[in-house]
Amino acid sequence: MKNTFYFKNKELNWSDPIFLKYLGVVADCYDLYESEDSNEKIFFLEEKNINDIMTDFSSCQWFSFSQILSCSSLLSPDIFRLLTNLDIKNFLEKSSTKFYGILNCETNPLWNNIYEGLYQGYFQRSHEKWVSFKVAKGSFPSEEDIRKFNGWVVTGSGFSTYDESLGWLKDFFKLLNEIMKIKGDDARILGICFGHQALAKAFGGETEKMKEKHLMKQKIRFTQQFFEKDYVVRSKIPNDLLTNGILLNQSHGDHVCKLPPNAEILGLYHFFFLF
Amino acid sequence: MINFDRFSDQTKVECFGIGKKVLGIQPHPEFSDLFMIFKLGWQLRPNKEMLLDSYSLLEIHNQEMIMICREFLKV
Repeated sequence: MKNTFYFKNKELNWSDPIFLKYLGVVADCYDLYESEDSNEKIFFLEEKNINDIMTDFSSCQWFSFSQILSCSSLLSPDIFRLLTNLDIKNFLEKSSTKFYGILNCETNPLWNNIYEGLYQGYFQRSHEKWVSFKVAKGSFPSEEDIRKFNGWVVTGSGFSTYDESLGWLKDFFKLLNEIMKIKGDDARILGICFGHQALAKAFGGETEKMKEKHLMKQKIRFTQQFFEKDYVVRSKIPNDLLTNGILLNQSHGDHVCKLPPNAEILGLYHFFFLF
Repeated sequence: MINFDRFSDQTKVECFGIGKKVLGIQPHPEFSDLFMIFKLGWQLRPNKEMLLDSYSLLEIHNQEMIMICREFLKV
């Protein structure tokens, strides 16, 4: 026999018997009417009192949030919204934990903590778990980590990417290529300062020492390719701000002098203020 | 005090990308002015007073760059 549920005269796309387990709960705030013919059992859910409808799952008195979650994959979007007032797709997207790794390229304990604290503080969102790997001390993520993690941030460092005396660097460049190979289009690697230079070097570019160290505010001008990136569009930063260039703090003594073959330049130096 | 194009032959690549998978940024969006004052004051002690007077005059856009980085990291 087919079970059909109606709410506000709209048929709910649900016929799994597990839902019946929750009907008793729902019936606390909804009247349930049944009608039956030979082939179909029809349930009508009607609100007892509009004020009783849950607007926030935290105010739910009738069942636990985990109960809803336990059957969320079986519930139709309509039923889920009825129970929680949330959009199920949006909710599942937000509630699933994502893993991010900080590839810490510094060995100085003070700077280790500074980078980890700043990156987590600025980039971490509520449903994310951030883990640090001290790669400059030989602590590398496993292949399982690479598959599990959604993104990586390569930190700044006092080291130079062209320093061949650093034993860990070669393995680190191999790791970055491994992430790209394993994750494919889902790979996300952000490199800042030394991290930026390490990414260039790992993927076939070149870095070198600069004539003078840059410790300053510097204005960056962006290329057309930058504005076309989906993550730039999604960030909703006003285009006029970006087209005029943005001022950021610099602190580095090396730079990228040759890009990897498949890379595109997104930002150029404009001018800077030296103090 | 303000130098234009002094290093025009260097640091041309401030930001690069490989598809949607890699984003490299030379500057530090995570370094606030206060942080830089601490860092510079620590490294350039003789110029500290001048530094403190002048460093905060120009507003940086680190929040904007952080937002872009966060969007980049979303999968």
